[in-house]
Amino acid sequence: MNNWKQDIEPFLNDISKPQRYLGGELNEIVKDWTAVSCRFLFAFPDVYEVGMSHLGLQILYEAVNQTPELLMERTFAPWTDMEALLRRESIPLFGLESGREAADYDCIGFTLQHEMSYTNILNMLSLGNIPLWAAERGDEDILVIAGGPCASNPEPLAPFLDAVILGEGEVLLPRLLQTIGNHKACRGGKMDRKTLLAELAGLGGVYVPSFYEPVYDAAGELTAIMPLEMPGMERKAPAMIKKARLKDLDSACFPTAPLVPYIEVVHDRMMLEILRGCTRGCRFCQAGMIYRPVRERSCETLLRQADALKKHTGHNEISLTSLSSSDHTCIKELVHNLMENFEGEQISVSLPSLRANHFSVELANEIQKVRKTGFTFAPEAGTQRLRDVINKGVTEEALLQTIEHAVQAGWSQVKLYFMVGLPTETMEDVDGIAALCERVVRRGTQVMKEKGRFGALKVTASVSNFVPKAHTPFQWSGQDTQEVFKAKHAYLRQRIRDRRISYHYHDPFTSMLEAVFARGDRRLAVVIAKATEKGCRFDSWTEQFKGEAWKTAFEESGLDMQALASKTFHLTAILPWSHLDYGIDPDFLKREQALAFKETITPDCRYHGCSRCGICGPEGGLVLFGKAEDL
Amino acid sequence: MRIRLRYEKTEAGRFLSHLDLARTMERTLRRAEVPLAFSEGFNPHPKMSFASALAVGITGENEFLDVELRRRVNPEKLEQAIREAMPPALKLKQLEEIPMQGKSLSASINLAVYRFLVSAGRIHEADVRAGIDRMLAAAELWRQPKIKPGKKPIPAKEVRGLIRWITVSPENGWLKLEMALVMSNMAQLRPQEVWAMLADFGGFEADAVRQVCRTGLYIEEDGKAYMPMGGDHRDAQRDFNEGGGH
Repeated sequence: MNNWKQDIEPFLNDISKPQRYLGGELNEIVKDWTAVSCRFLFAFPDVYEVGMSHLGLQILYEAVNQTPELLMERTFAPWTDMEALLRRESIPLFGLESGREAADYDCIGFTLQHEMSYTNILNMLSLGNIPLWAAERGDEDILVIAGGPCASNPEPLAPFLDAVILGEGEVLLPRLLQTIGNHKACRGGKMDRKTLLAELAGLGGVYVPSFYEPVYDAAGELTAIMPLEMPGMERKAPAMIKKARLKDLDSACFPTAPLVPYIEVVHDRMMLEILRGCTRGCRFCQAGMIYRPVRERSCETLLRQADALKKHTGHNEISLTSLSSSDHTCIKELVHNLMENFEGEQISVSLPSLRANHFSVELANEIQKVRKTGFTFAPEAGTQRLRDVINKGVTEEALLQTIEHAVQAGWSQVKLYFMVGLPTETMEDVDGIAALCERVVRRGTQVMKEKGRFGALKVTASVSNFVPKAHTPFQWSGQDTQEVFKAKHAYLRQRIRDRRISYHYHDPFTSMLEAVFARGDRRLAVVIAKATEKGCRFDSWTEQFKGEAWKTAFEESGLDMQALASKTFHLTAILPWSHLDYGIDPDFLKREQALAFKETITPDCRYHGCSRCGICGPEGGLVLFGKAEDL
Repeated sequence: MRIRLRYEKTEAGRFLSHLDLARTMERTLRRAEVPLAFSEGFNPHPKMSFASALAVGITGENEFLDVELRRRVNPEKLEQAIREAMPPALKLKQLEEIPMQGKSLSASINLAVYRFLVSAGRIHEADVRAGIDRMLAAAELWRQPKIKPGKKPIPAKEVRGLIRWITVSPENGWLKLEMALVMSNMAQLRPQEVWAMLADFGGFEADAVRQVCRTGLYIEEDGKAYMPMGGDHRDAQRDFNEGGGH
């Protein structure tokens, strides 16, 4: 059992940011390998600085390592210079804590945060000397699993994965690892792979892709996902796999002594998860569907956790994270108390996702006593019609008033997020983005003048491309073609003349790839393998992206990526993720799609009655600690 | 209240940049619940001043930092709290209260002692010794910094005056080199640069150096050198002078 950290030692002076590969951070947990029954390697398919900013890693690190018989270590995608070194010196991918090679662990688990990380996953398997395809792995080989938001349609990766965790990992991952540990303990440390997979499939929330067979018709349309007989079980795998759910967030484990990196990471601050789930019901938003129901943490718990975080990390900033932080029913009380406790020590509080309303400005004003940063809102669409289609319950007047308040409170910069290519969008809606930005600039600048301040309100319009996602009301909708996207961006580029507005947009080509994989089936696995072979890595890093290699990979596989991305599924079609149950009633998604096309909004169930999405039931439901008021 | 810390940047922390170190130190002090004093202004930061930035890849056995506090705290309690809050990359060695008004560390430190190892396989101690003698006998030593493409060429500098002494001795199959280098605002030498020059004088090829460590920072005044903090001050001076006696 080698410690490979010693083997890289002589080369560390020649690679960028060696600290990425060394571990040893504050609050690192190093366990005795012989004292545990299952050793898990958490693999983040991006660089250290990105992975260490991910709250999910810290939560799982706590959830697994707090169990005495389990061990979790970390590994990240090595940057290109490190990969070259590892390959040249025949050093395998290793865990940061013990320096053991990936193949030494019982299980390796990848988090699927976005589609553009898939080539990194295959590359990491290859660096770990782990057989790429699940079918090639034997009883001696490590178990390869995955989880995270893209696990809600893991089909393009299914042939590489032994098992997939659906839903909330802090509930299911320790159970899964214990099952592996018990399985091996009963067999003198050996694994009977097929039997183990059947045991895992029985846990609920664990999807074993090899127990299902997709059936296609002559035209290549998916017609069924057939559950197969499970080895040694004398029954078939469950027809539907239900996501694992955490009933009560307030009592759930939370990492109050997280790892504190030495080098600067993307989010270098304390992260306090104040609530999970969002029922605003934006129809394009996958997170808003798959993380339901809304569960809050109580103010007392949060204040206690914030205090512990401060003591154990020493960070000078705390971020109150969630999908929509101003929606917490006790946010005012929480922010007020945090400011009182933290302000004297120059610890700032940040609220990363705020809705465009007066209340948000009030909150932001309170927290910006320490450091004042920019204001960001996401109207997503430029016209009221399209905002009704996507169920973004923000009116233009509300947005403009919010801007007014923000400018009055001293802000002079606003960032606005938009999307082009949303279902039913016309050029009028595209034009609306420019028009809205202009009105925001005018209103804001006018307020500044009235206040006797110099200059003008600066607006940054960041425009991304709509990507249809599984388990959303827009899952059936095809994406705009590359031509259409380019035309829309070109239009906006020439339409926005006001120099107070700066216009940024996302590359439509990567958005197309995202759409292909977000709704793709198992036939795409070979494309990912080919792209990885052709050197695709870090596809979300613009300077690393190899578009030509991707095009060739698709061509060689006989697949048309544009057709896959812009394909509109029939409402009755079997979707590649039809067997994965995220607790959302498929009829709800269909109703929502119909309402979208009728430009009718569905109000948030926290304030206006149940919209029958199907999530609430015996397994849990909405948990609020204060009075629900739509501000 | 103002305090001075003597600390070690350990093996585990050798790849930290100065900025990483500053951030890590601030967090350590916050975990120890040190009542830090902050600068005024838009983006307040703690009033900490380091003796000297340490390059990436180098450990430091005796590094120094001054910190201003906004109220008085018992120094013994403070020392213990900070010691316990240190991450694996750092180790607190000593803490003392110092006068509020006093010369800053960076203005008073003017000498650093470095130690590193080179492979004894291909390089002979005698050659190194000869190189040292020849180099130190030179009246002038000119160093030409590397010319980076697109950048203005930096003029060569005379650096003989920056080298106080150099020693070499065998150590478990390696050669251990130690050297005292002057730190000035005008010019500074890195130990690796001295090693490269030394190789030229000794007529051997400069192998990669290992385990580069800055063993101490000194204030040199009137021919005497001492560390900026008491305690083993005397030892430090003996250390320094022994080297100088070579």
